[in-house]
Amino acid sequence: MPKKILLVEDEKDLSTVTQMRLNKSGYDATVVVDSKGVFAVLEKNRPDLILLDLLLPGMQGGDICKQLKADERYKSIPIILFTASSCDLEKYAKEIGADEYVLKPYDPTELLGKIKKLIGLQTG
Amino acid sequence: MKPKNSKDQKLSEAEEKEYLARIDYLSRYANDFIILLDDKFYFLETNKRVEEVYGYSHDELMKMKATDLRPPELRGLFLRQIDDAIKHGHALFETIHQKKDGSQFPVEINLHSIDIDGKRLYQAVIRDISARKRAEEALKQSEIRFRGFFENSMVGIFESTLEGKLTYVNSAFARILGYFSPEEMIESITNIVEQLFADPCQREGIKLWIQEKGKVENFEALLIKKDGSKIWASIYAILSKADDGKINYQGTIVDITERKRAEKLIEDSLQATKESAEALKAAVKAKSSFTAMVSHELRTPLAALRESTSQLLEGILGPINQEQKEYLEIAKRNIDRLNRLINEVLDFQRLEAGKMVFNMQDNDINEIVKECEKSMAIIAKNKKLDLVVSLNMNLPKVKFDHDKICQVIINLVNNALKGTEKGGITISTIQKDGFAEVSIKDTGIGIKSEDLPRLFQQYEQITRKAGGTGLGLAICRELVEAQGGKIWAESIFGQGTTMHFTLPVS
Repeated sequence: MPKKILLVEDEKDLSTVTQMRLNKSGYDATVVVDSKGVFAVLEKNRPDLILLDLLLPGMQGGDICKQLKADERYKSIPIILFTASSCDLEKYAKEIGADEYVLKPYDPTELLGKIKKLIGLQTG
Repeated sequence: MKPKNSKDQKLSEAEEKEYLARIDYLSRYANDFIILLDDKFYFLETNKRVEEVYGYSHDELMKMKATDLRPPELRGLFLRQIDDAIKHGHALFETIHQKKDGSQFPVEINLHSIDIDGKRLYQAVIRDISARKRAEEALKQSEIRFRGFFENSMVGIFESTLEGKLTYVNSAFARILGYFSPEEMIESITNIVEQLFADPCQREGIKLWIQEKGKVENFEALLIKKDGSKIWASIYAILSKADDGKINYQGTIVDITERKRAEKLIEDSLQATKESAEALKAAVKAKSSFTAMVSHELRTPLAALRESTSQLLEGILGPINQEQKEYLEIAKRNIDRLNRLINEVLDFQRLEAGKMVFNMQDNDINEIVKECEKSMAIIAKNKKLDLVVSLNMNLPKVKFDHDKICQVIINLVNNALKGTEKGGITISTIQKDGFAEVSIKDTGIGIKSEDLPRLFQQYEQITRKAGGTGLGLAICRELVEAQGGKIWAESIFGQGTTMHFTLPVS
């Protein structure tokens, strides 16, 4: 069973190509566009990893990350921040409890490498 | 009158002798001088003290009269001073007496008349009041001095009754409140608090304070002058007991109108500064979020562009023919170029805003040079240029940000490769004067000496051949200088250029 990745990205074109990249690399990627979408998916179809854009409509990616990491049920799900913003991302990621980060435009090798490191390739 | 014994008989000779002796003992060692005088003020008897102090013998004294004890210039006053003793039986007065040796001292004389058997006698008790006089003089001098302090004080000093009626003010107090004289003010003010305080809150305030604590210190109040104008004063007042046991208020005021004015000025300018700071903060914040937004807006479409092109090229969405491949490669090249440009601009902006984060670690410069040489090797090979490294193996570790210095070296090597048609590039490292120095030497066309100073300025391009934004070298300089190093260029036009940069050794 392929590992499930939840891609939280409100820019449609980017989410289309990224979802394609992830699926063609052996994962099962779902796209949601905001925090409502995140919590809906978490309930019904728990992902193995979350790829989280920071600039979102409504609740920001940073707050979503903090909330999930504070929640007993979801804090074990690895979160990779996915963002164009470059202001001391290293420090910010640590602050909000994210496990990794990639900058846009991303290098697909780098992104896939980080995902593999966190959750491997397949469940089996 | 001679005493009689209990049987009311005349005393025997022995008894009388004893009686006389007792009289002598009574007064012999008294501290004061006791003299018995006749109605003409001649001495009839004196106690021992008189002989001891004045220096006359008993025999001499028996021939003297009262005025003999005075210095000549005071003898004329005698009769006037003892007038009350003659007429009413008692006089108390002061004069100056002179000893036999001529020395003088002030005395107080208590003179009583005694009428006995029709005869008039006088008893004089004379007291040396030198000490008292000295004390009086000291007190007087002290009083003069302190009165001087009070009167000349810049601080307003006052005394008032418990009801607030002024009983004393110094000139300063009157002047501060705009009155001609202390007298005028004392007459005008029957209630300090009601008449002088402009602010009813302060009026109540000072009354409460005094009631509770019995004093106020540094109480700032707005006071009304005689002409109606207002001043700020700092008041000190305390309950105190006067000499006569009555309780009153004593205190001081200082005119602090100027200080208040200065304080208000400072407060106003502080407020203005605060407002400016707030406005500046808001502007910076706005710019920050603008920058973040720009960053996001430029990079997001770029990400989508790059990935969609890459995936097509990789054949992920199906096979592509040669022509399609070439076109897609054109797209990819330009997307990469766009990416580089956007990074340059955004990096430079961040450097300028001081928001660039440096991850300073101990690193090996030679390792980084070797890494960069590896990345650029292909480009050099394609252009048929040599790319050589010449490393000083004794370089110590240097503290710097690995990625940023990589960026610098790659940028410089790139420029060198672009500007060189034949020959090659040499990257060398040396240690010099406490710095690690990296040099990138090329055999390109070189730079004219008049162009050298502008080389690292932003937006400057010596030649359009390289394309780009003209920020590359400016960014290199910012990156190097932020890490404590220097960057410069040497060049001979027509022969080649050497770029140098240094980093401080830990």
